[in-house]
Amino acid sequence: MKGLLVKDIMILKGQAKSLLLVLICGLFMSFTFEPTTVIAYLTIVAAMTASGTIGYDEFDHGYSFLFTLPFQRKTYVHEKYVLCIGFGLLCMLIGSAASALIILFRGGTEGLTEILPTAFMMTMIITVLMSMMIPLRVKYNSEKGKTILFVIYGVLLFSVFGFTAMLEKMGINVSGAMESFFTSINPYVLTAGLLAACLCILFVSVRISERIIEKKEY
Amino acid sequence: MLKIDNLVKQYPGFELNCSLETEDGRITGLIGPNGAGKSTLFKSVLQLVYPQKGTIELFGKNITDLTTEDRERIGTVLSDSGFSQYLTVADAGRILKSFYSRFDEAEFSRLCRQLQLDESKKILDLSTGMRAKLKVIAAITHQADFLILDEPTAGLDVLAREDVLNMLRDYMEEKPDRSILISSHISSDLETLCDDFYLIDNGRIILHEETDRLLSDYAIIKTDVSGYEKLDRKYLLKRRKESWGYSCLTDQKAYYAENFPDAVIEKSGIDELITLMIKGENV
Repeated sequence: MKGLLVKDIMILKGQAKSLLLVLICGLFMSFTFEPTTVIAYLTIVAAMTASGTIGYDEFDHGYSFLFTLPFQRKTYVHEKYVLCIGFGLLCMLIGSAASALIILFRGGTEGLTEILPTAFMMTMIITVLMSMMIPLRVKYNSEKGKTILFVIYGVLLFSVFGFTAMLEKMGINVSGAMESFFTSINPYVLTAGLLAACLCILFVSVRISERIIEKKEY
Repeated sequence: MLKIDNLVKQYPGFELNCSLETEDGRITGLIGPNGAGKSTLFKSVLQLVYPQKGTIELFGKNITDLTTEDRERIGTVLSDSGFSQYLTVADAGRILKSFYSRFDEAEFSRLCRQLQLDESKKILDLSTGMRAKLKVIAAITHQADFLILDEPTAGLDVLAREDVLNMLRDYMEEKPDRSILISSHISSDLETLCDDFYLIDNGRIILHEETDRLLSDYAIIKTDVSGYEKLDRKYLLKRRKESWGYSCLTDQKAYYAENFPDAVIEKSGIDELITLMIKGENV
């Protein structure tokens, strides 16, 4: 896996200027909006940028040569999860630190308590996001994978909002019911439950990606 | 070193069905027209595609049993694939170092300098020749025991080709039990480099011969129709109708030179061999 990570770090290094611009934009947004915005922004952009390395691997028949290098095919997908989630987490930490500094710079401590829950939520969001994205980008070419992913997101959003609207029309207060549901659960149990759900999704996604990569021909 | 036994890989409208062997200390060429199955064969050995039947053994093991350590002993050049073009030459060196335990960093840099490859340049900015040289350097600088090279000299000018071939000769001289399987469209490269070669057409191996024997014993006999009628056809492999008569391929040049002194007998090179073996008819 080391070789694959080195390869991807070299590719990301080539995008250092763009990433620096993203960081500056994130900091600017945090001064303008909520300071915790930078955490969400940096985490998502970092994970998406890291997943873009799949496109670099694929470009110009790159997979053919890549898979002649000494590693097992499964390792390739494992490395992508490590890279995408790892890089997302690294940038989440940077965002969290930046967010804390901005709050302190503004001369208050209000908002500091928001950092940890935001960071936790973002960890789960990128885990689920990458769990959906990586198998699709490995299975299809980069552009097709992105399109399918957007369609899936669209269908999911439409279904959730549609279902909620339908229930609201039937006189059921969905947001109120959800709020009372979540507040009724012990926050530690809720956190553990969400974490477990994320890990399950990740595990299933990794197994799917492994099967895809092992069957593919180049 | 490499033993391919009754390999079958089917695609719609095409079937590769062949056996092939490369021995230790030898360079084996694979020649044939475009679409003959060379790349499919190479990809089967490299496990980029999965054959339906047959076995492939490398280093005495079935290729499906090769470990990561075994795979470190293979050096590869693919004609249409390589490192990401957004990396620099130096990046490629760093990546190789992290993949291969026996990667010789100093040798990599020395060869880059010798072949005027600027390590700070992006692969995207290299010429075709420079990219081809980088591919070969990457294949030979991690002490591989077996090289599998698909068109390593494609698109190169004569000087760049000579550089690449010299690198391969030096690689073989370093350790005599190394082995290379190489394909090329440039017959002169193979004639001067390979110990033996396989001719593949339409997914089948149609000839396996030692290069020395090809150059010494194979010949093209050119004759008019009446001359062809008198010709002993016992050692003719193929013939092709020409406007003036027939071109015939033989692997017994001396026999015809001795017994048919009036016949025009020309030395056969790989190009002529391919043409007559594939386009010629059976005698």
